[in-house]
Amino acid sequence: MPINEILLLIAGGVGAGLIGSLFGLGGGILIIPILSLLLDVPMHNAVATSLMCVIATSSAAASRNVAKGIANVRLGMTLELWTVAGAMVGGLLAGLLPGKALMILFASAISLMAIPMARGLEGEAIDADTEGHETATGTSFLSTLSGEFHDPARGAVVSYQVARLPLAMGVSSIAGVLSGLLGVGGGIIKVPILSSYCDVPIKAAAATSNFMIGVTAVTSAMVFFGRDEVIPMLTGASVIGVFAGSRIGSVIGPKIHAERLRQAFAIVMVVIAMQMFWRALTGDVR
Amino acid sequence: MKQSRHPLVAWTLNGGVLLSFALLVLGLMESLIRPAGSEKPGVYDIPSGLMAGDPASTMTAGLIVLMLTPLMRVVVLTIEFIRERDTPFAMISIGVLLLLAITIAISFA
Repeated sequence: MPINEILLLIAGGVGAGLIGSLFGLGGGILIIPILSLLLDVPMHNAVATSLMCVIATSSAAASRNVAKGIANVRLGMTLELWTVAGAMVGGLLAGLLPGKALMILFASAISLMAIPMARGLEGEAIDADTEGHETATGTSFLSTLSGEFHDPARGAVVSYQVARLPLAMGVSSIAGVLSGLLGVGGGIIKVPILSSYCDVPIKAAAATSNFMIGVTAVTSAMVFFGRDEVIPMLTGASVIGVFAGSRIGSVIGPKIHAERLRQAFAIVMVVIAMQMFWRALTGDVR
Repeated sequence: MKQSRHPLVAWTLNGGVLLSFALLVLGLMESLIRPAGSEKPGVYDIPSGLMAGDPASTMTAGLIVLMLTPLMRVVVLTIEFIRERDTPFAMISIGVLLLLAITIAISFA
């Protein structure tokens, strides 16, 4: 692989990681359009690369969230059973689909993701996390999933009981399938459900989702690796770029007002989706 | 229930990512000296490729370490749950490991 292509991959990865980190989209999601549209990389290789980027960024973030006690490890392990099963199915299903179908699915997914991004639904979920649902008591299994963490923003210890576990399990398996099919982490659907319907505060929901994402992504990544769809130089250079970009994003994120750019970025996501639809319907997609 | 901080889990994740990143950067630097192809080397060829400074082998080793990192995290948690005699979560962790083992068997069969 020529050096200019490697540098382009790293630069693209830095941009994808930086934007993903600023908008809470995870590290891998933007690398797929960069690889498939700009560099003409086959969709299966692009999805495999994205999964590797997701493992790198989520593992690094999970290590910090576990050390701070924000990630609910017991809840994460319980839901991981479902995400891993889903990711295995998604990874195998991706092998049966042509690149064109994967591109259409991915374009549909990012179009849908643009809606909550434009409306700022994550912000609403922050306030909807505590009241009004039945909570677990006693020594039931649900009570062992309860959590408590110190929230510096509120300057208080936040306690919660997990509700509607079957819903969280169902959503987790769907997130797993999507992860395997599209190379995304799946946090975009897990976090709102956990915070809005399962009574998990959004910080704990995001940290717990992130904790799960590494294992979910590695499940499908192994399926792609086994099919020889991981190209070492392409994937390695992208992972370096995305990882560096997401670290830069986590440092500069609190200093800039990325929230103001949310709607503009939602439009960019729709434009990318349109281009992918167009390419899938009219062009030669591998 | 206050969340346990699981320092060994955090260390495993952090250590795995750092080792993987170091191997990927080394592979990248090797590729500046010796251009790499797009082929993925066989798993058994990786140790000799690493010793010979083959960039594709070093990159593949970095990616394998990256994939092993979350897997090791599940192993570490399983051991922690077993040591704490936390039977329900030990069983759940073993269930996750079994699913991962099935995935490995399907993928590399």
